[in-house]
Amino acid sequence: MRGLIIKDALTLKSTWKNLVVMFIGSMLLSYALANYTLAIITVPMALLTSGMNTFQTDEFYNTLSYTLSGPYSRVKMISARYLYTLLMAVISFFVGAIIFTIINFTLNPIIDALNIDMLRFLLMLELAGLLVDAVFYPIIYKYGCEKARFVLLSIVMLLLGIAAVVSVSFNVFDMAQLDWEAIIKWMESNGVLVLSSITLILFTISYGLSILFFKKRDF
Amino acid sequence: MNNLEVNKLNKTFKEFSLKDVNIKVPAGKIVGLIGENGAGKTTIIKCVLDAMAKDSGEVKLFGQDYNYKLKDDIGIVYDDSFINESFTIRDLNLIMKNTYSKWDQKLFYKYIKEFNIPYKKEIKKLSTGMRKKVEIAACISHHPRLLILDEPTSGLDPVIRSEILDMFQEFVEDKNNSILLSTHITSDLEHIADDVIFISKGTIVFDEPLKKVKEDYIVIELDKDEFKKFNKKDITRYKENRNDYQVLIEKKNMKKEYNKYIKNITTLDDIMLLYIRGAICED
Repeated sequence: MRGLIIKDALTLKSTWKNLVVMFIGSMLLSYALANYTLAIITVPMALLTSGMNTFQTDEFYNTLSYTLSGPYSRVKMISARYLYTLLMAVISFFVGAIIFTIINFTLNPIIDALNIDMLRFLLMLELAGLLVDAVFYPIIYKYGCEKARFVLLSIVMLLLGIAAVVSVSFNVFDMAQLDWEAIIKWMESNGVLVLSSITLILFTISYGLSILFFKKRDF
Repeated sequence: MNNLEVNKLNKTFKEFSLKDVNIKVPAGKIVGLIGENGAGKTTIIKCVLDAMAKDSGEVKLFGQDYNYKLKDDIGIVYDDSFINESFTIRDLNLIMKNTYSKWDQKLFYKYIKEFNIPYKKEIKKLSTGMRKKVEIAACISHHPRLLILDEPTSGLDPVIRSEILDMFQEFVEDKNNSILLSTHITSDLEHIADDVIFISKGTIVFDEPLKKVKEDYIVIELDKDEFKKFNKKDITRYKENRNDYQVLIEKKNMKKEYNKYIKNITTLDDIMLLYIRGAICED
C-alpha cells in the first residue's frame, strides 16, 4: 500500500510550481483586500484536492490497469487512496497552520481584524474538503473521471432543482425568517464537532461504496 | 509445473466474448499468444490479472488458486506506457521498492545503466524505445517468475526489439521462469517462443509447440486452374488473391504431389492470416 501512497504523493511533484504561484497570487490578493484568509487557505485547499487530481493522472496514464496487475487487491487500492486523502488533509491543515502563524507573526493586526479563530476555520475547511471527496470518490470509482463530472453535475442540478421547487411550492425555506446570528453562534461552538461527525460517517459510507463500485469495474 | 493456468475462462461483452479459453504457461517456456487485433489477447491477460472481472473460469498462478499476493511474482508490460511522465527513474524505483517485496534496486539500476537511460530525466523526455526499456527493466527487477507481456515490442525499431527479445530469452534460462507473450508481430515469436496459442474471435484455434505448428501447417500457392482441380477436402483454409490462391493445408492432408506448390517457408503470419481471413471450402 505504501507504494500506492508514494505514487500519489509523487504526482504533487509536477504541481509544486503551481502551488508557489498560487500562494504568491493569493498573498498579493490578500494584501490588496487587507484580508489574509485567502492566502492562508489557498495552498491547503489545493493540497486537499490533490487526491482528486490523482484520479485524473491515473486515468490519463492508464495506471489503474497496471496497478491492478501488481500485488494489490482492489480493496487495498481504494484503502490507499482514502488514506492518502486523509494524510493530505492532515498535512494541508499543518501547512495552513504554518502559513497562518507566519502571517500572524508578520502581519498580526490584519489577522486580528478577521475576528475568527483561524485554526478552527482551517479545520472546518479541511473537513468540508473531505466531505466533498467523500461524495466524489465513489462516483469516480464507478464512472471514471470523465463521466463522473457529468454525473455529479447532473445530480447537483437535479437536487438544487428539486430543493428550489419544494421551497417555492411549500414555502419550506424562508431565508428571511432564519436567525442567522444564532446559526453562526451555534456553528462556532458546535461546527467542528458536527462537521467531524458528518465527515466521519460520510467518509465511511463513501469508502464502502467505492469498494462496491470498484469491484465491478473493468480496465 | 505451470506458472500460469487458465481453465474455461469466459467473458462476455456486447459484441465480443471469450469462450472457454484454456491456457497453460509451463515453467521454463515462452508461450506466444497470437491473434488479430480484437481477438481477445488483452482481455485474457486482463482477466488473468484481475484488471477485468471474468464471468466464469479459473485462474491458477504457480499452481495455486488466484490470489493477488501471488502477483508479487509476476512482471507486466502493457502495450501502452503506464508511467506518469513527470516521474524520473528514481521516482519509479521508489514506487517499485515499496510495491514489490523482492525489488532489486541494484539490478534495476544495472539495466538502466546498460540501456544508457539518464536517471534524473523525466520519463516524458525519453524516447519511445527508452521508455519501453524502462518498463521492461522495471518488470524484471523484482525477480518475477512469470512475465506477462502485452505487445511489448510494438512501435520499436528492429535493433531495440532484438535487444529486448534477448532479455526475454535470458530470463527463461532460469527454468523456473516463464513468459506469456502476446503479440501480433509473429516474427518475434518465431525466434523465441516454445509454444504458440492462436486465438481468433475469442476462441482458441490451436495451442501447440511452435515447432509442431510449423510442421503441421503448410501454405501452398495455386493458380486458378490448379485450385479448381485441387482436392478441396484437403484444404483447411484458402484465400483468393488477384492472380492466385493461398491455401492452408494440414500436414495430415499433405500429399507428395502438393510439394511443387510450396513457394515459401510457411510463417506464423501466413497461418494466422489464412485462419482469420481465409475461407473454408464448401464442397
